[in-house]
Amino acid sequence: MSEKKVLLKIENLVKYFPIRAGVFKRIIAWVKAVDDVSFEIYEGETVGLVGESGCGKTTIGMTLLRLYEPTSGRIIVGNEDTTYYFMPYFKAKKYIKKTYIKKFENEDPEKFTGIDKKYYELYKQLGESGFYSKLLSNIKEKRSEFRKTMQIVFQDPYSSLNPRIRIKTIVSEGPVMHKVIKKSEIIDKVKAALEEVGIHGDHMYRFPHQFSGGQRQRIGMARALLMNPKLIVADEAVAALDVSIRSQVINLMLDLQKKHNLTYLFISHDLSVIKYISDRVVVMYLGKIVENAPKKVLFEDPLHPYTKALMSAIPVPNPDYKKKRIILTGDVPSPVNPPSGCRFHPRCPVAKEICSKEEPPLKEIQPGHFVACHFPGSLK
Amino acid sequence: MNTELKRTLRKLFKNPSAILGFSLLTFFIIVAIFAPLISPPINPMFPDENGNPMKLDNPYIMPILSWSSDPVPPSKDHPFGMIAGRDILYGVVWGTRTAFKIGLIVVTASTFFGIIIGSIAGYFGGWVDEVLMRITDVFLSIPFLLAAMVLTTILGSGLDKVMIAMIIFGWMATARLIRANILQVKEEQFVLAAKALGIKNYIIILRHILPNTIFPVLVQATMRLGSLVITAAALSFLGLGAPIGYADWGSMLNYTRNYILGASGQALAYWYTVFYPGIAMVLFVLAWNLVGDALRDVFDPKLK
Repeated sequence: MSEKKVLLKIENLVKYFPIRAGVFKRIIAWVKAVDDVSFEIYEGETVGLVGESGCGKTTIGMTLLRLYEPTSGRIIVGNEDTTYYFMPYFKAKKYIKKTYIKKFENEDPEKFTGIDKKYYELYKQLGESGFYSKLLSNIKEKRSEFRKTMQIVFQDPYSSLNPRIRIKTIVSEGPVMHKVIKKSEIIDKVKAALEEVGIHGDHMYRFPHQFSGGQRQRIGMARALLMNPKLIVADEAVAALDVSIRSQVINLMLDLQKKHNLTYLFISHDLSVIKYISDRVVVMYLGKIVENAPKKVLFEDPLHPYTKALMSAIPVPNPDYKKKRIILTGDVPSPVNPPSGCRFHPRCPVAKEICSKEEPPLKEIQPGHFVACHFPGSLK
Repeated sequence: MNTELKRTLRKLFKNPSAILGFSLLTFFIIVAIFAPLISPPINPMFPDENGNPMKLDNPYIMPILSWSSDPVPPSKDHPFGMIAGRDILYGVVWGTRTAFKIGLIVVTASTFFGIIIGSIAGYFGGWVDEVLMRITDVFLSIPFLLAAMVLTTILGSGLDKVMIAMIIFGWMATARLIRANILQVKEEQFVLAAKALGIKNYIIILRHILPNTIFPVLVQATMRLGSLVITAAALSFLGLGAPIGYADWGSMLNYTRNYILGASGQALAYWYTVFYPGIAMVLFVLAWNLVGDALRDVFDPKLK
């Protein structure tokens, strides 16, 4: 693992949505959609993000793409902190002060690693004001660069393409704006991109309603692809397609990955798709990561009771096969008021007293296998 | 797209009320265009040096053809009759132009402002939305006629001032309508995709959001076009609008105030003074309403 390059690093990502009420729109509570989530995505791999509805999978995807502003935490792309890129100037400055300047002034520089170390050297070299202006300069170029690094493919093929503009415009508007392609090359490049995803190039003058669901999803891929991104977040990208089309689109995604050296964050609730496509799987429950492991390890030896229960729910297409299913009782608690301690404890078959009091940290049990449980592997 | 257009048109022309609406509208448009042929803007009372009737400087000011202000019943020369020395036919014909002028200008301008304010409020949300919507509420809370009267007192009376008043107090419904639609569309995935592509906000609004939200607004604008003419007529009737003698349906009704009740014993003695401008107005409003209904049927996917 260690020789691979980290493409994206999420550190302690938190996203709360306010619930407002009353005349003055006072905030009365927070929906804790994503609560302190950290993981890394290496270059060229496919990370599957699974969990049931409402556990914060999509919120993570949207926050990564900065369609939502994170409440706190860091999103590091390559060797740059991108968290402040889309904040207004003063907010960004405040963020830099809080995250870096305070740390640099108060903590031991010897302990800094990775990005902190890099930024500390920059800070020492340029001084405080120089450090600010270095980080905040060329923010437009940085934003553009960020958009070129990361793209998203959405779930619903029927609402993810604007029904009133032609495919050519849909696919080319982003790349033209970021000068990935020149205006004079639009037709050739759009044609090439469409043909790459299996759509006839001449169909670029059509409107979205003239295509089927699978074709639209391919157009969505072409739109993301033409930006030449490194990472594509596929937010339930095949969930709305029927099974035969689904496998075609998945195979297309795998082909494109090889060809363009893409990295995928594949968000899904469908474990069989995840099993097919991912290199590593991150399992979420109620806004937290419960388990993060290479696919093989996770599917053969899940350690968290929740993961285990999920695995036992995968349907096996064999009528003679009898297997023990772990049936979880109760519903997912509300993310507004999550349970104390381990969030899974009210439904966990092996919960003990400590589980309701102490929150289990995400520990690396084997190299590359992280579990957040007090008693990993205890559910048989 | 072409087949869809054909289907839409076929659907439109199967609907009798749509046909009636479009025919009435076409009729009014023809009358407005050919007004100088139907009622030449000349005054036969004053021949010029060659003996021809004098050309009017401003065709919208109805020529005075007789010094008696009493109504004259319809005759061969004046098929709609006369009032206050003016030919009613002339007023109705040229009043069509006035009606279109008022309707189109006011609706275009107020819809434009409404769209700008509503889309900014809807798209950006948060405190921007809050502030703009409270301003809208303030404008909505003022009764329109009162506001128009106050404004014309300040600006002075006249058709242009009335139009300004109608624009200033006419954009709120549009703003609210477009805001509500935008709130719905802005969570659509193609808008999120555009944001993820880093498209600029104004392009997202213009290219992705407005084309998907504009149709209810166009329908509402069409319907409003008719009723605005009534409002303008009401203001003219009150004496706030068009100047004396202006070819405007509302001002024409203003002349009839003394004759509306008829002569003693003959309630309908002066029916033509009210009937012709009145029926023009009713049909004009009806035309726009039917057209608006037809457009709604075409554009509203829920009624398909």
